[in-house]
Amino acid sequence: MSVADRFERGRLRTTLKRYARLARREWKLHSQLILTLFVLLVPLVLVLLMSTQTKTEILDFTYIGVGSDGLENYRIVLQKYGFLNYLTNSFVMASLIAVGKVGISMLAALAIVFFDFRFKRFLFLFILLTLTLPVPVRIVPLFEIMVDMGWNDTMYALVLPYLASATSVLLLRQHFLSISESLVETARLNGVGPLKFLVYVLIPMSKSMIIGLFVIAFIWGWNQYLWPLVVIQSSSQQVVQVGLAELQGATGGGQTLWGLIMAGTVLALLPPLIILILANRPLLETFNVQMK
Amino acid sequence: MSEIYTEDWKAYLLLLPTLAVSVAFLYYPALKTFRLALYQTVAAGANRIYVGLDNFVWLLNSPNYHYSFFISLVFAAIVVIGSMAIALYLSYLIYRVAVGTSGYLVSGILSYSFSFTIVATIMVFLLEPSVGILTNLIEQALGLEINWVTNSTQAIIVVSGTSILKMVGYNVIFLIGALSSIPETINETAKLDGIGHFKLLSRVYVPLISPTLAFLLIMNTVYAFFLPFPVIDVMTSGGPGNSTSILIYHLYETAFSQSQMGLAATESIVLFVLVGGLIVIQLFWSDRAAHFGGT
Repeated sequence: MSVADRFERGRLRTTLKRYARLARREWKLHSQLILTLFVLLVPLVLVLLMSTQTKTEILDFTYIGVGSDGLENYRIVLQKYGFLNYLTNSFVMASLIAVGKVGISMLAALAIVFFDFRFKRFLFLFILLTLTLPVPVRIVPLFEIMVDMGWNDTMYALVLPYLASATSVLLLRQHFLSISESLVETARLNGVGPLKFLVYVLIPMSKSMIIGLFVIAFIWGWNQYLWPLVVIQSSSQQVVQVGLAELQGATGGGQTLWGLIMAGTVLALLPPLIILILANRPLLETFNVQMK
Repeated sequence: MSEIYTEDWKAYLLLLPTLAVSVAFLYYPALKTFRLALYQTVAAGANRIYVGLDNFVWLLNSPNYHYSFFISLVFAAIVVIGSMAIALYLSYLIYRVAVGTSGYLVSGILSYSFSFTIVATIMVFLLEPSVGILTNLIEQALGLEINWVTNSTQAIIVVSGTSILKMVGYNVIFLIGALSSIPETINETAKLDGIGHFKLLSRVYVPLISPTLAFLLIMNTVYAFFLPFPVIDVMTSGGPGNSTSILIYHLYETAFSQSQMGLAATESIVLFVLVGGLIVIQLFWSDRAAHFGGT
């Protein structure tokens, strides 16, 4: 064997060793990931399974699997415990908030980025500082305002307070600022009006960001609990988060009907979960994530 | 310059919807909170009398409120540190793994879509002292008796743990974003050197993503003060006794169970000083407050 051959073999061996080390490393990463995600997500899996179990199956520690009740719990929750109604209300509330928020924030961002006007810095700061005023800080007067206006117990009360969005304005502003100067210049030279500019240039160029903001606003709206709990009194107007909390009083023969509660939980978590899975790319992009 | 339009009135018209909502539902009620704090409700909400700073004095002298303040800080500390640590570990694994990244990432951020109410409802059942399947498992594995309905320490652990489960997804989203922006050359060098994971994370990656970590530290603290309200309401109602009655829950009880609106407004101001102060620090320190949840 020549010296050159020996050298080649030695190199091959070290390369193989390195690959083996990398493969071991990768394998270790996978096992840690699966274990961590299992711990974090096992409650979700258990809930899915238990929502199909009967009253006795669900109380049996050793019974982990699809129950024999099928979708019966879901039927009862939807028909007898008002969940169809709650889900509809939540869907309307979250959709209106998302559409309204993104819509009026686009108008505001259009003004802030592409207009030169007096008091611009002040008005921008004015919008920005709304971030310091989450619902709990103003909940008491807000409730009284709704009562005075006769809006408590209506969709107005659920939607209106959530429409202004410093977050959306800020993110859209950042995005609009990154649009190429030559494009903006072309629009100016051709005398394109601001609304046309928004509809034909800005929106098509910000699709992913707009979807991302929509998803964030929808999930945020869908998951609200404290404000609906305070401002909605009749159960026909109530949203699913509060409805779910009220379902926990569901008892039959002195026993809490956990199967029903688990079915209600699945129904309440499914819409935002599906939206998150379907729109995970635009959502992550909006949060500034570039995948490797 | 991108400012290609100059008519002032058109700009104001475009800003009008956002400004109108901000004034009507954010600034105006917030100002009213400050006024209301100077009044006391008598005769079950029928009348209000001016009491000056009496409400503030009352809170300052209330042992109950002191405890609520203290437990809020403890709760916030556990939730912030817990959820950020788990999210950092998980994000690092997702970032380093070569195959299946997007699947792991989506699974890691699932909890972002869950509400605190949902996670609390699930944990109420799984940890129910007598019939909960996880209670049974933990009791058998560790040999201790779980009853967080009567044991204060356990109640605090359970509500914090539940809130941590919910917060992990939010943190993973930002940490993955920060890790992804690290230059590839640093990764190559690190891989070749064969440094252990823990060392790599603590010596190389954490310093590189420290701005994001600082941002998350503030945002998580802000969140921990008021978002987990449903966890307390669904799981413990502030109990046993008042051991899990954090500030936001205390405020809710004062306003809507005891109808003491003036006192509740005063409690709102305490929350405003804590939360608003942190947000202002965040705003002037970097422009990343853009990501404040959905408000």
